[in-house]
Amino acid sequence: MIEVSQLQKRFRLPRRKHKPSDDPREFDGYFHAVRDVSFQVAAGEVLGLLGPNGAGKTTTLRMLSTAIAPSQGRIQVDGVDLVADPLAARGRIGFLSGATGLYGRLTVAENIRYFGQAYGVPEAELAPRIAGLLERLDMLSYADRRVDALSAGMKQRAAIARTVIHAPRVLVLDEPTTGLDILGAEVVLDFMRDCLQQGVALVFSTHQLHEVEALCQRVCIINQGISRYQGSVAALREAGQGDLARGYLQQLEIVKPTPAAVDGEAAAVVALAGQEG
Amino acid sequence: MWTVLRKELTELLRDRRTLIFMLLMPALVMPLLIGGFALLANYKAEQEAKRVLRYAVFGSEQAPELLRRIEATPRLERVGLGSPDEIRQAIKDERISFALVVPAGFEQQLQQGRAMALELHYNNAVSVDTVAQRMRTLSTQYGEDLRQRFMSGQGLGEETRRFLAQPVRLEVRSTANERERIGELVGAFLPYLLLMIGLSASMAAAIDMGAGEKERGTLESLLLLPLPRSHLVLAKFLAIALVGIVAAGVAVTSMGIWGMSLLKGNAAAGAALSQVIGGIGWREFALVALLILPANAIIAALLLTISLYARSYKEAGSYGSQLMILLIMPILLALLPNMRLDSGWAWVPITNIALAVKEIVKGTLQWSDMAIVLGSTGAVAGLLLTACTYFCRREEVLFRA
Repeated sequence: MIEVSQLQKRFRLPRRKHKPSDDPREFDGYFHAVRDVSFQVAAGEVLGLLGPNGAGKTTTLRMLSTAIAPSQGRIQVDGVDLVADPLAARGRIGFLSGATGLYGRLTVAENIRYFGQAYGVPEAELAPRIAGLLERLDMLSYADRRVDALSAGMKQRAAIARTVIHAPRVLVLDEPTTGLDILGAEVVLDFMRDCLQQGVALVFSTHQLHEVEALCQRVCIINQGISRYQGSVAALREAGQGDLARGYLQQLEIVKPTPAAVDGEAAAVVALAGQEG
Repeated sequence: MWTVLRKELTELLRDRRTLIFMLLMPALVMPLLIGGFALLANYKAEQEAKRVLRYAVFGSEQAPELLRRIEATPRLERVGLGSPDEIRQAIKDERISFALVVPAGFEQQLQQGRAMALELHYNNAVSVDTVAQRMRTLSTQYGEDLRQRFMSGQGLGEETRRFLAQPVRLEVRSTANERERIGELVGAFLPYLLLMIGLSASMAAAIDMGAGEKERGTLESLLLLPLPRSHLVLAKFLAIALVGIVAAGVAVTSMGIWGMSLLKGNAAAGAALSQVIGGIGWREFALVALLILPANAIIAALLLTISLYARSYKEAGSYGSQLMILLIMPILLALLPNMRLDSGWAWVPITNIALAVKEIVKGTLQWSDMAIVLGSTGAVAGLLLTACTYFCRREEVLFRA
C-alpha cells in the first residue's frame, strides 16, 4: 500500500551557512534532512515512525503527503507513483500534521464539507459521511460552532474528520496526539484503530512508546535522516531484552546492547532522546 | 477551483478586518476624511481672508494718496514702529504682518511721469500669501488710476488711452465644454481614489489568504488538495481582486451620494458636477469598470505573490506597505500637469489606467489608446499571475524558514 525506497530530501542552505559545519547532514551547500529512508506499510497495517527530534520524521511524512517533493528516491501510494502523479496520489492520502489545517472562521461542519468537496466527494455521499463522522467523533454538539471558538481537543477531532472525509486508503499522521490531554489522545487512538479495521494503511510519527505498543505491528526508526531499523515491535522489544524503550535506544546507539537496564533508567534516556535536535 | 473560491469568500465575509476595508472605509471613512479635509481647507481660507493685517509705513509723508487708499482698505490696521531696522524683528515677533518703505519724492516723481518702486517687507514663506494678494490688488488699482490720470493730463483721447493701457487684448474662446474642464479635475482624482481604495481593501484580504494561512497552518492542508496549484492561485487571486473591485465600487457610489448631497447648497458647482455625471452614461461606467478590472488584477497578483512569499502576517504587511508606495508613483504621474493618454503612455501599466479613466470622464477617449491600455494591462496582469503560480509551486517560497 505504501512503498518508500531510498528516499532523500535536501534543502539549499542559506549562503551564510555555506561554511563547514559539525552537522554531518550539512555538505555541498545543502542540508540533507533525509538521506536514506525506506519502509513499506501494507493495507490494514500501522507503522510507527520513531526517532529523536530533527531526525527527519516530519520531512519524510511531508514527502509522503506530497507537500514537498523528494530530491531522490521513490514513493508509491496505493499503486500510484507519488512523484510522477501527485494529484492522483493526493486523493488516496489523508495527512494530519501538528497544525489542524482547519479554517477558524468556518464552522466544524463547513470545514469538513469544504474538504470533502475539494477532494471531489460526490454531493450525495457528502452529507451522510459528514453526519457519520460528527457522530463517530462525538462532535454533534459543536458541529455548527466556528473552529476559532473550540478547545484544542475539539479542534483535533474536527481535524481528523477533515483528514478522512474523502475516505483515503492511506493515512499519514505527524504526532497526532501532541498537545492533547489523555481523553483527547484516546479519541485519536480509537479512531486510528477504527481505520485499521477498515483496511487503511497508516503511518504515524510519535515520541510516545506506549502508543506504539498499543497500535503498531511494526516500527521504523529514523536517526539523522537514515532509517536505522525497520521491523516488528516484538523484535525491537526482544532486542531490548523485554524493554521496548531500551531496544529503541539501542537502535539510536544511545545505549549499548548490555544486560537489561532498570525500566526507570530507560524511560529517562528516552525522555532525553526526545529533547535532542 | 470554485469550491476554494467559495470558501475564500465565505471566510472573507466573516473577517471583520476585510469588511472594514472593503465596505466601511470606502463607504464612510474615506468620504468623511476627504470631505472633512475640504471643509477644513475652506474654513482656513475663509479665516485667512478675514484676518486683520497689522502694518507699518515709513516715509508716509511721501505718499499721502497711497496712505489714504491703504487706510480705506478693510482689515488693515496701521501700527507704529521706531525705525526700518526693526521691521525684520517685528515681523518675526508677529507684531506686524508687513511694512511699506516709501522712497523720498515718491508721489512727486509719479506725478511727473516717472516710475517708482515701493518696498514691501513681509514673510512670504506661507501657503496662502494674503499680504501679497491684498497689496497687489491695492497697488494695481493705484497704478491704473495714476496712468489714467497721467494720460488725461497729456490730452490723450479715450481710444489712445485704451491702446496705451493694453495694445493687444487676448479674447479666449474655449473649445472645451464644462464636462471637459470639470472632468480634468475629477478624472485625475478618480483613478487615485479607485485604485488606492481597491489596493488597501485587497491588501487585507491578500495578507490573510497567503501569510495568514501560513501562520494558521492551513496553507499546507490547502496545498494537499487534489487540485493543480494554478487553480488554487486563481481562486485566491479572484477573491482578492473581487474585494478590490467591490471596495472601489462602494467608494465611487458613496462619494457620488455624499458629493451630490453636499453640493445641493451650491447651485453652480452642483450644476457643473451634474453636467459631468450626466455626460457619463452606462457606456462610460462600463469602460471605467472594464479598466478597473485589469488594474485590480495587477494589484491582486502582486499582493498574492508577496503574501505567499512572506513568512508571517507582519512580514507581508511590511511588503504591502512598500508595494503601496511603489504603486502610488505611477498613479501620481497621471496627476502631473498636461498629462494625457497617448500611444506612448498607453503602454505604461497603472499610469495608463489612471490617464484612461480621466479621458473617459472628460469624454475625450481615443478607442485606439483604450485598446492598447486594455491589452497591455491585461498582459501584465497575466504575466504577474503566471509568476505567482510559479512561486506557488516552489517549496523554497511556500515553506521559507
